[in-house]
Amino acid sequence: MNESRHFNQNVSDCDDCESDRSIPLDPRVVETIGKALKAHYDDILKQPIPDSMLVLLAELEAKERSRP
Amino acid sequence: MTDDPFRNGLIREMPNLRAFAVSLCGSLHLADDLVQETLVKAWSNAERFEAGTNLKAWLFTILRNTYYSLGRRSALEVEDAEGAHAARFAVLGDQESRLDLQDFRRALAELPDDQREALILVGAAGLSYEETAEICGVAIGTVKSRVNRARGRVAELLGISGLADIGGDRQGFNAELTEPWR
Repeated sequence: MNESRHFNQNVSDCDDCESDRSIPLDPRVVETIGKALKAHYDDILKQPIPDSMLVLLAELEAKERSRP
Repeated sequence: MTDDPFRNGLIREMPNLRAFAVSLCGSLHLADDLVQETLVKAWSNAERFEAGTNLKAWLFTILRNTYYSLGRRSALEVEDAEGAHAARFAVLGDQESRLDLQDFRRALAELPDDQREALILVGAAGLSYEETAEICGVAIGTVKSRVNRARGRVAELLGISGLADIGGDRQGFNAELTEPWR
């Protein structure tokens, strides 16, 4: 990780800030969007993993084991 | 389970990879293809992963680079136009949160790719600004700016930008939007 670069926060730290609209959002709006984001993401997180993915991983492992 | 920590790490991160992939491309079907391709690439580049570093961030980087190499957004637009995007995301449970989540997902899908990925990584996937900057290959300030603009745009699309709106001036929709997650 290039942490030294990232911890230097100054104006040149942002490639496209000039197009940033600087009107601050109401904290309640930010909170509402945060909760919606979590609801969206967690809804997918809690779904079962498709078998095809586990099968794929098993195939990758088997291929590796069969290598000379 | 074997005791191969890399393999077990891949299994552990699969749900996160799916959630990030769906957020990026807006389609469960395409998302699963993306995750599979990510797993293949991760497996064949396993020796490049430094044990003890952040596997989730490493995998997310592979996934988003794979997504962008595939010609972006086309699947999302097609599926959304047919209403499949929203229907697929039906939340188990009560009607209100189903409606709300669909509205939110439509707004999310409207965002430019760079804003959407920043908002998801920081706001949902639990990554820091530093990790997100690393994954997206941009400066931290750029990530912050993208997240702010993404929030502003989503608020605009959902009609909740103003104080008065949240306070209940626009009844019904906003009440429903805030309630289910309390």
